[in-house]
Amino acid sequence: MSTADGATIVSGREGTDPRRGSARALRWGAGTALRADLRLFGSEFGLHLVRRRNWAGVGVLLSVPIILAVCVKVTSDGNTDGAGPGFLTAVTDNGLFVALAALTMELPLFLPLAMATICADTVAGEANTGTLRYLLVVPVHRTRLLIIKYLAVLVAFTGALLLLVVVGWAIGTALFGGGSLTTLSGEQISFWAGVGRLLLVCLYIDVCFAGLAAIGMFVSTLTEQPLAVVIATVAVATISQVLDTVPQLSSIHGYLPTHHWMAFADLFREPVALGSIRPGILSALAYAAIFLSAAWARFGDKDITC
Amino acid sequence: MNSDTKTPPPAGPEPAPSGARPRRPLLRWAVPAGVTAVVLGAGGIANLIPASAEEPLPVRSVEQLLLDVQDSLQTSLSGTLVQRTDMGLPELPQSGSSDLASLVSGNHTLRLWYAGPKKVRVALLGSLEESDVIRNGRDTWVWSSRDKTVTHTVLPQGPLGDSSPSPSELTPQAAAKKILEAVDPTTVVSSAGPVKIAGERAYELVLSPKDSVSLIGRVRIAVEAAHHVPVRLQVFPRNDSNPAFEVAFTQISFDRPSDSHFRFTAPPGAKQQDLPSEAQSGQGAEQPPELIGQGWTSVLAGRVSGDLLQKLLSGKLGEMAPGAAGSQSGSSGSVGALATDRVFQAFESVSGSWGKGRLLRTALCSVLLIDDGRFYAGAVRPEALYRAAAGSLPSAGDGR
Repeated sequence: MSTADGATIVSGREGTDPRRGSARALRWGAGTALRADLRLFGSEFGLHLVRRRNWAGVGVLLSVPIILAVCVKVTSDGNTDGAGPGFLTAVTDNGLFVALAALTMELPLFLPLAMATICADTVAGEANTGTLRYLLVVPVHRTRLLIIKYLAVLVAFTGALLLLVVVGWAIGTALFGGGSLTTLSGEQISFWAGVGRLLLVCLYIDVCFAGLAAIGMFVSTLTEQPLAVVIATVAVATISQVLDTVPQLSSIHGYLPTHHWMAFADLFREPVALGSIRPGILSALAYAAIFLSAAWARFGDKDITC
Repeated sequence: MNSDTKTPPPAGPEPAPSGARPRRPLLRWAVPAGVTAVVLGAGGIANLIPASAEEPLPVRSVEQLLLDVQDSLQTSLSGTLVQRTDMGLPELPQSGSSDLASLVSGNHTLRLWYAGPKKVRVALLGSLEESDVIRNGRDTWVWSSRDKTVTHTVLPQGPLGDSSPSPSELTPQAAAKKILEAVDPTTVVSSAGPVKIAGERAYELVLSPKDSVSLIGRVRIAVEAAHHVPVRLQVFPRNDSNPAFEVAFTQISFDRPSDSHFRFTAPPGAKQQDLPSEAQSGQGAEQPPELIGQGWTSVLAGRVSGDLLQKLLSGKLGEMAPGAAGSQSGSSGSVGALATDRVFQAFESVSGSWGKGRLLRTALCSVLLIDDGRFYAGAVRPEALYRAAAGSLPSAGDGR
């Protein structure tokens, strides 16, 4: 439908034989529209890349696996004895688990914070610095603009996540060695199978955070204060996790946006358990659909005054 | 997205900024509302499908169903189980745990591979951890991912090896079989259903004890229609419509699981402990608890060792918690101690002609702990425990 939009505009500009003109314009329009979208995506993604605060945030994310690996190496003599969060016990066996332990530690707060920060920049941040109205002068439909911004957020987040995993894996392998690893079920899998599972974990967490990103984008269209977006998005993630620990509310646990996040560990069972992964993906997609359409409803109709 | 097309395209070659477009706020917000409705509807429909009518199941008598349950131990299957226990005990702060002892309360997810009673693997899935119990022939392995320990037991050859406890005790089949051993003239058996469990249609057996001393109101066993395997077991307390114990498949496959699931070798870096087989270890142990009475109202009677009793009576049960007893320090130990102390606080002081003691009442069972170290437990009202303690229960105890 978006290509049809482009075609309408372009055929209006051509104005000759409507049938042939529109067919040509459709081809031409589709190509240009795609190029324009890509350019816009590049500029949106580039904006995430040039912000120094984002790199500071990435630095914080990356510090966790480094601190964790160094601390375990320095303090323990290969004996963690069941203390600490999940996967920490396995760190000394295989460096790959540094990445998983770091993910486990960052999943409750740091990763939602990172997602909230970049979501805040997309609409509220631009409105706050006064650049949003200039952006809207670009002849791109607001719907496409919103989708492009959403995709840029997801790609930026994926980049940070991959960087985190790669740094964790690298420092873990350097300090504790690699090789085949032991799954939660006590079975061994090969090194490359482990890497593949780690990438699947990243993919799963990415899908889960696509839901949170949609919530962040929606809040971002509601306000012109990026700080409010960060607070609201992190609050949603945190409150959801708090409610998830209250046993009396067990009937609503399955509907909470964060409920299935920790299911990524099921990818490290042998064989992989999909019992929680599947509802996790469905729940994230449902949240993404609902809040992205709400963001669209708000953003497409919003008065941009600054 | 549809209302995109409804907004008139901008007049000029340059699309006009937002001020020029007509405003239909309500129409726009109908889209997210519609998406929400569709998403919730899709979830709702998925739940409704099992309730939709299908052609009726062929008639199967109660006796046939009882026999089905008894024969079902030979059927190979694999699947995922959810187990819920709500005994009315204080909530233990362990719900994400893969500790095998945590099965007494809360919700748990288990995976099961079953190829006959001698090839069984049960995995208790905790959050970021897992415990596995594997039986393959005479070998039994217990793996805990949290502390990376493996416990290996070789069962003795012969009939004892066949009858000794195995992880298959945790399956609905075995649980249902145990219940059915109690079916005798003291039970009303009827059928209900059909129900749908894990996408499979199932008959339902309802067993209700006649004796009002029993705390169990009724037991419902769902028997899958095509393979005649129990796929759900629910135990209801008397006068309660919510099950206090439930174990049910959420996903099930009747293909024979491959042998690789039952082969286990301790992973490198794990602490392996080889336990002597039960035939040898049984000699040194204290006198095992004995069963008094029969059927639903039978009472387990035994004796607690002096050391444990002292701790129990002084209220320092926390020190005996599994987490604190071992070399572990830190949060997991203290959480375990806290949990055990909270359970202990649920005991009340009681006394009678049999002496003085403490009583734990839960929805499904009562436990009486007498100060001299005797204990009595059963799915019965406390009065039956007092009678057993006073020795006045009709002593049919064959002391197996």
